[in-house]
Amino acid sequence: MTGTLRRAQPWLGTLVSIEASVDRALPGTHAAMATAFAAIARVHAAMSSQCAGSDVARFNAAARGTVVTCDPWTIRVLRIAAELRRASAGLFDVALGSTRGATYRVVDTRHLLKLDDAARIELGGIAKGFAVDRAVAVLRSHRVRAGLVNAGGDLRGFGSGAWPVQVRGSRLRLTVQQGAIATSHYRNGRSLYRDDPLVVPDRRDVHAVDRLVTVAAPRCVLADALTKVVALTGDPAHPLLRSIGAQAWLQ
Amino acid sequence: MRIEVLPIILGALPVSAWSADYLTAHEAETLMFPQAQEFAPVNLRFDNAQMQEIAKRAGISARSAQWGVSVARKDNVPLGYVVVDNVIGKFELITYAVGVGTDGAIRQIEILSYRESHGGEVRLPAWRKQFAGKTVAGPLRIGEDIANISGATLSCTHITDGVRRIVAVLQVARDSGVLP
Repeated sequence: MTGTLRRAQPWLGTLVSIEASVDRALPGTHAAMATAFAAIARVHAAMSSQCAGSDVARFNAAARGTVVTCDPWTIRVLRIAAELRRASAGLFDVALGSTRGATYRVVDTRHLLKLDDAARIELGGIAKGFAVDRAVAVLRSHRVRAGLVNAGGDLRGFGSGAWPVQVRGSRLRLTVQQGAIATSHYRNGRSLYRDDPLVVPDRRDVHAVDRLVTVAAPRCVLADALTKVVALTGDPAHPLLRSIGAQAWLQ
Repeated sequence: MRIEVLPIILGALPVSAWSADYLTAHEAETLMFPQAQEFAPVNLRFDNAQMQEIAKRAGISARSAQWGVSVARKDNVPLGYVVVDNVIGKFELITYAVGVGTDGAIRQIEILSYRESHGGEVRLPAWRKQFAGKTVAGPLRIGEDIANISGATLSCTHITDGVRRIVAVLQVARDSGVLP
């Protein structure tokens, strides 16, 4: 017997759904899904700014000079974010322009040093994508043949399946086989549906951004983060996209 | 990465109605309490004072004086409770189940089904066509018949409020001795 198992739970301020192809040889699929949801919950607990006691909340509340103990996954996300910030010439910035200078320094894989009282970080524009990638990694390590993880519209498919995807508020329809898609809808520079901020330092025109952006990328963390770069530049052919094998649609 | 762009159907409209079923209530309770040998339904009825107590603990109204609870038991010892509830958001109706241990701690939250519509747009035929002829034999499920959605869905505020209410309902029921 083959089929598909689907479950959904509320995490990261949205609905996270996981579907996995099942066959009789794999009775542990529910266990695999539970472990995948646990990975999502771990990202939620560490990186949601609304979650009291999260790494992000504690960092934002801390004073300059504080060493904040973090989940190693938070440090991983910050490293990816720093790379994207450099590659996008500062367009993607998890510090949202909260400080003029440096925001933090990574001490090691578990510790972050806060460098400025005013420094704030917000991982809402990247953590969902990262969570999707972690869930996909769990499912694969449990030898789930094919599946799709969707965190409020940031989604990634793996294995042999092909999933039709409709972009909300658009006529764009895509089929995802192996790869990720993220969509962000901004009006007046603000995300319509979620915590997905666009603010970058020295960009006063940001409040005028009114765009629906969809990005396809090999990994969901990249698709999620790059929606911000495309929204701000208005350029679906931004060189950064090509360099990581991503594609964008702008409406 | 393999992503294909599908041709635009003329007349097709932006996403307007969407529906997904994930688990049945029994599947959810079995996942939440895999050791349970039975799930006994109990109907709770609260008086006004209890309703006020629930509202006080939850920080939102008790909404209903009657609640159905499924008590998970093994060897006649209660392991916990499962409550199925609906919340209505701006555009969506969500049915979800909450599992709570006998210690009052939330075990798990599972979405059972999710339906959303954006009102008038539902009447437009091209999108609705996806739903036509879907019966028990051709269940309405994402992935098979209906496109998945990229683009954020609901905020989970309504579910969070609902879960808090259910935890208060169970506390008040246990305090009054109606629940084991």
